Amino acid sequence: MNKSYLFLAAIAILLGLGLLVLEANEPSDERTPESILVELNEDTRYITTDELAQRIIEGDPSVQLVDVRDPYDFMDFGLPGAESIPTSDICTEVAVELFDTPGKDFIFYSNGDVEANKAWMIAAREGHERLYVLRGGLNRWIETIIKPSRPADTEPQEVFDLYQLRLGASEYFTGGSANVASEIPAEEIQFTRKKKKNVVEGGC
Amino acid sequence: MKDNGTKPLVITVLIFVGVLVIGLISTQKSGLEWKKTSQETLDGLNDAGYQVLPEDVAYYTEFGEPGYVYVDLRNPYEFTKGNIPTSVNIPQTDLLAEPALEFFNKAAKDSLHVVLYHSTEADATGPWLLLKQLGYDNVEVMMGGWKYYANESLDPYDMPEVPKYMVEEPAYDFASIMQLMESSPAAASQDMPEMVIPQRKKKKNVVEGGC
Repeated sequence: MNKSYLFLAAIAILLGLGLLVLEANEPSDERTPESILVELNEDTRYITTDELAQRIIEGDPSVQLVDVRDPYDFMDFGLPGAESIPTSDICTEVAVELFDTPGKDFIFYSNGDVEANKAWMIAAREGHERLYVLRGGLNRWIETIIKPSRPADTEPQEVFDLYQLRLGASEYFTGGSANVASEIPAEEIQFTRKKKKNVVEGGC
Repeated sequence: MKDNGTKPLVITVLIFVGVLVIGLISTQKSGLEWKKTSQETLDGLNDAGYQVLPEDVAYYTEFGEPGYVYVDLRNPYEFTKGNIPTSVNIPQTDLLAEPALEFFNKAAKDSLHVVLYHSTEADATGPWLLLKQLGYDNVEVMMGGWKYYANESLDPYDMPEVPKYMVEEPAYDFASIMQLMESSPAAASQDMPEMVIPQRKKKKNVVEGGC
């Protein structure tokens, strides 16, 4: 009887040790390659510069911009309210603490969108949620929001509406001092807008 | 008493052991496994040379450069409309399917350079990093993607100083734009204090993280 007890106890202890090993192998929040590919395919990670501008102007408190460029570049120029986390620091404690902030949408941006995509890939694998990439990055931000170019007269009304929105956004972010104003006289813009409106009204 | 005592005990323990063994087997994952940790991947990110220039691809495919295979990640419809000569179509949705992995395994065994391209370089970056983290170190990305390759100049002597495919190069003078933004009344009243404080914090933190 003693022997069988010993034997059974040995088995139980061995299995207990086995469980210890199992615990160690279990990754924390890490996601599988397959689940990340699904998210890549859905293409939901991109946010456009227009959406971002609108959310900042509306004072959306869930926007948390993350600048993944070199910290020195960030000191030269960054978007309002952004935190600087270079791609290579995505796994540091500081970054993890930031990503654990509840109720935030983390929007990665770089000069383009290649570097931001790298940061997104690693952060997504680490199991962080609500991660986005600014489509086109800072270059497109300036191209579309800070210095929007006037569409051709033959463009449809939606393009002009978008242009008006962008002009407003440009004014918000630069205090109306961006080069746009000097390139295009304000009267001219208003004129086109009025004209378009009247056409639409007449149609109805 | 001897028989009465041990038999039920043995049976109970055996059942217990059986449940544990089943548990151990069923928790083992059947899917793919990361070959690199996130930190290892980040450390390897700065290794230059994973990006291939589109003009080089054009040259290689025209004159035949051995050791390179090109993989088009767009969907089959886009692929049939136009693609890089000799390229193979592996739609991104099938990237981790059995035939695709067989292809990548074979290319790795033959130590071929696998050059991925998508519509843009950014779109190919996700799949590239996915494969890299799965241990395929021979995978590279064509800069610019199909949009550049199909529409822009591929002549190295007929290119601006900073070609359009260098999307991470600043296209504007950011410092002067920063001044514009600082001069805006909105930024001065609300955003500026917020911006200054995080900047300070960050600098400290970055140094800490580096250690």
